[in-house]
Amino acid sequence: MNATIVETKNVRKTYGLNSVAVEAVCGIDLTVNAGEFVALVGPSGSGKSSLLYLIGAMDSPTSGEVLFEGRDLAKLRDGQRTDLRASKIGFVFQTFNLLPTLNAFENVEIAMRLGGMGRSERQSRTAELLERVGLSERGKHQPRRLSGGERQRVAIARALGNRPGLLLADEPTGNLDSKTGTGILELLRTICSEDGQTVIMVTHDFRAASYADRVLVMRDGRIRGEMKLQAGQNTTQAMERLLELELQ
Amino acid sequence: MLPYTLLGLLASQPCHGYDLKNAIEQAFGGQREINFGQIYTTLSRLERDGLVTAAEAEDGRGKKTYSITPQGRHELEAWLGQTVEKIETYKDEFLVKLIVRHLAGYGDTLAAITRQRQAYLQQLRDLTALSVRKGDDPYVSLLIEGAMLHLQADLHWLDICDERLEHLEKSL
Repeated sequence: MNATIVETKNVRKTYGLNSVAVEAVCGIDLTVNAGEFVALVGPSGSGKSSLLYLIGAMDSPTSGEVLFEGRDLAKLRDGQRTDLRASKIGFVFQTFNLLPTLNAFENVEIAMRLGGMGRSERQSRTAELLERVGLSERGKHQPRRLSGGERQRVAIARALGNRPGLLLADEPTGNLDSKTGTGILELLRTICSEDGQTVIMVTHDFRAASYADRVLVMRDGRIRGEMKLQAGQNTTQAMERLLELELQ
Repeated sequence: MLPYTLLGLLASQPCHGYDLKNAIEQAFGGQREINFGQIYTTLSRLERDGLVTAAEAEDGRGKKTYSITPQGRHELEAWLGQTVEKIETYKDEFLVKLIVRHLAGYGDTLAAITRQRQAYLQQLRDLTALSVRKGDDPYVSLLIEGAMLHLQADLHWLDICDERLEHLEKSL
């Protein structure tokens, strides 16, 4: 059994005041273990992104607790929270959010500089990460000269720079065509399966969610269903089922 | 659709039953052992209806070579020319289960929906793995892609079931 990395206890988030208040997250208890790939899936307005931002210490709950490696985020000082976000949690966004004036290499490296890593380690780690995401040859390219899929790969490399315990991805395939999106999902799957990276991904797309080990279906700020998935290895059986239907 | 698949293969050249089995397996992804009996039953039905003829080989081992007849070709072309009615695909066993569950007075609709979601998601996961392995075969990857899109639609439909039935149960 792996250690718990994130835990929420009856966490709530309300936006607005009094009569116009909207409860985006309505008392969620969630435990994520190290090495897990969890997908939060649901339509827009289901509270999945709000929950992700609470977990990532980018927003604070109205009530309830968010524990990261056992520490209550609400009890951290601002500086500690910033350190946590910079070094322990990696973020990947739908819109990539790369710095346009830096090339791919520099975009990956800068996060490590902010995380306080020394120069030579930064450089070798950046090269290693660009290779991991399949972009060794593209380090000198600025974001505008990269395709959407390549930009997202740079963003993933950047997010992994400081060896965060947790990688958060908010609709990472939302701006990509289906084939490119598949490549990104396979990359996330690989860094979880091979490197033991914990990943929490928000998506509205069930196909994206099917890459995860555990899928939480969200609606109206609550978890409506929780499912565990097995690695898709029984391909022969899947193919047989398909053919059976086609030839009936 | 096996009869038309067989007619289609025979339209290119006469064939032994065994070769037909192999050709179908290959055309649809080369994974499944197709039941020989099913092929021979279908072939004899096609023969009875005059859509194929069977000639026994002279080696006395009774191996038959099948050929398509002009009538068979006509039937095949008519089928290929027809647009497809989608009604069959609208049939949904899970909806029938939801209705029967309701009629029989069993509750726990949400749990049933969650189990069904899990099953669909797992199938989606299996198909993803399959598409990685079968990505180089254009027709097979189209087959897989189609199945995945159907599953995605089914999963969205389960969300709608979930939402509507929750309101319904609350209003009762």
